[in-house]
Amino acid sequence: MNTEHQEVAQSEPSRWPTCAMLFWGTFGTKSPAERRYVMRSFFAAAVVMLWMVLAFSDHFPPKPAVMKITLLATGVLITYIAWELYRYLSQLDELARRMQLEAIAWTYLTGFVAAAWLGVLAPFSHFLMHWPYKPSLLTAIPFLYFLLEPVRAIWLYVLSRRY
Amino acid sequence: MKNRLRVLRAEHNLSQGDLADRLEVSRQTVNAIETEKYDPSLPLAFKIATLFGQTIEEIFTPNGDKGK
Repeated sequence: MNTEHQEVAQSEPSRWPTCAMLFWGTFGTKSPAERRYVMRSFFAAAVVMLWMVLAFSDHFPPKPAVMKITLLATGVLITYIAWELYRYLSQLDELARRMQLEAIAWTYLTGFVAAAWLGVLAPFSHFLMHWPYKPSLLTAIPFLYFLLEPVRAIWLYVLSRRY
Repeated sequence: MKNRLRVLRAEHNLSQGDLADRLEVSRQTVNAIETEKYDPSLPLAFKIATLFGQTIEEIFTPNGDKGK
């Protein structure tokens, strides 16, 4: 390689967008697919949260009919977010898709281990021992999504250090 | 997998971003391949080979294989 070629061939840092990865769980490319996923999933999550606030602020626990509608809406909206994530993943290039899928796999394992340890700790905690018998707490299960998304984002950040 | 991507890119006066655009991948993907942190899929390897008018074997060499 001559000098000009050597200048062009300088190794550039990979520069993964840390903020976008940690906040949105994406790569901050502002591609149409990413923009659509971020906008739609944020909107759906905001609707879920707003709906819950309104439903719970009116009466706690919400009246049975309101509770049923709230849970149905939550299920539909979180399914919609999952669908948008699937569409986003299908638009990524191969390294980005690989990192996202690895992050999802590690998130699954993290959740699996956390659930196992909650089971181990259950006999030592009155709350952990009895929460499955409290129907009102079962309604919180759809919101595990909001716990798992930050875990996926952290794993995405960790994986980006590898590349 | 060792590769000559950085050399070929330099010979064609392409930045990582230019090459990424031509290959329809991200700049980080090009960077990861050049730094040998990521082995491309076969379709992408063919795309790279076609772009530079070479065979895959001329660009990519398995680790431990010193080539011809």
